[in-house]
Amino acid sequence: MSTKDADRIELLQGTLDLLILQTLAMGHLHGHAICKAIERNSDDVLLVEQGSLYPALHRLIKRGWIRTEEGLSENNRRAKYYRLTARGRRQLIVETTKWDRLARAVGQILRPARQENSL
Amino acid sequence: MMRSLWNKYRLDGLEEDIREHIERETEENIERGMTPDEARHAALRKFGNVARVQEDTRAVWTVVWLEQLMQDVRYGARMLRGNPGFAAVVIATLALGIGMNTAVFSVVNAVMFQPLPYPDAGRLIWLGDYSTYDRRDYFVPRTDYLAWKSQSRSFESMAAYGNQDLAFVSGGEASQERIASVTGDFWAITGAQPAVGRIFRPQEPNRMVLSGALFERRFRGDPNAIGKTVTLNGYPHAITGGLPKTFRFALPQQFTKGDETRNIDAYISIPDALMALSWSTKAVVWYAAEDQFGPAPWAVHVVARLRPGAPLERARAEIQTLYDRLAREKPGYMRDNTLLHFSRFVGPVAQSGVNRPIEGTPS
Repeated sequence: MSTKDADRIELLQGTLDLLILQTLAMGHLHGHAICKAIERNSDDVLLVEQGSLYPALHRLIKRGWIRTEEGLSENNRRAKYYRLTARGRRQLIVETTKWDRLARAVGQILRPARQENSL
Repeated sequence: MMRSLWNKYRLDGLEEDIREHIERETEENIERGMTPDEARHAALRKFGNVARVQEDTRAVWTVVWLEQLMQDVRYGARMLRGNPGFAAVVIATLALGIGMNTAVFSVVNAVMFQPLPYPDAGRLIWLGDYSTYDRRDYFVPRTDYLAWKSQSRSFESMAAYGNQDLAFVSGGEASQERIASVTGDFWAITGAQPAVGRIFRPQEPNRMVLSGALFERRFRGDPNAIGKTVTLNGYPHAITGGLPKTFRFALPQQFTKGDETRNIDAYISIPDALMALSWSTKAVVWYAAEDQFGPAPWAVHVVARLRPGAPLERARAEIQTLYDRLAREKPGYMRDNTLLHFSRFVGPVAQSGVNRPIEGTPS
């Protein structure tokens, strides 16, 4: 929790869906835990307005990429868990590939200038 | 159709999920060393606007619903074109239905949205607690009303009231009547004048004023009824007067699901001693007070009349300031603004959201 709020980066449109899929690939989680996992795994750099998680989750349910199930949490409270479906797992690969291509393309545009400077 | 029901099911747990989420975040913040108050504030800030999140989440499913509706409409249009006789019957049925609906609405409109039949109705203002969380009005804590009444400057008069259904026993005959308990400037605000007898003085205990209808129904309008003692749920009340039949109780009423708003049958006052009990008073104390002072409503509603020329905006700011001050001085039940998202509603009485049933009586 050391990163200051000012240093945090807001998520690009659409990336939250990808991050949720990736997070759920590691196991089923409840809503709050998904937020925590995303923050922790990005070394607290990514700023997720926690509320925006819910429209995103429902979008993913509608597309059939995740589903919900009732379960008990650590301290024996009833909680709703989200789990990746088989289709969601496939989609995660598609989305990850798309993201890699996008990142590479943007990187190629930005990097040549920097390489020249460093030479 | 099945799909839209399914969508509703999907969304059913949403509020609970969000509440749960905020609670978890709050607990984590407390573990991190924040005070419970700070923790909840921080959790809510981090969550963002709850109402907007709910709306956005619903919108995810609504789009599907709209697409399906369009498909149904196109299918229906094709069917009707193929069968003109059936189409004619359908159109006639719809025309009749819409016509009747419009007729009913015109009546409802005239009854429900007409200005209140009270003097200077345009300056009558409703002061309520509105919950953005479940989108309805709640009653106002009695302590708030007392602070607003004594300290606000924008209003020339203010009244609190609540309604209850009580057993009315007179001359060995019992009936259930709807009783309004009133305090403050209720009579000035409504402008009610007795047809017979007098209105009880403010805070005069155990007195009752009958509505014109009850006066006729139980006493056949006989002036000798004045001075008689009747009981309400066993508590004796002396009748001081009867209102004319033309007087109508037109302010919003609290009522539970399956119940309805009806006319008020009689009026009693809320004793000062009961008004002074704060909302967080334990039920035991409350019932003991009732034993001593008679039946009193558990909820009060507040109406006030603006001073001529006083801007509504200033009244709003004033009420909010008084509320905030009291919230700091006396934190307690019904002040959990952050979790329940209460906001003050200060606006025209006709816009009050209280005329919707509540789910049940409080325990």
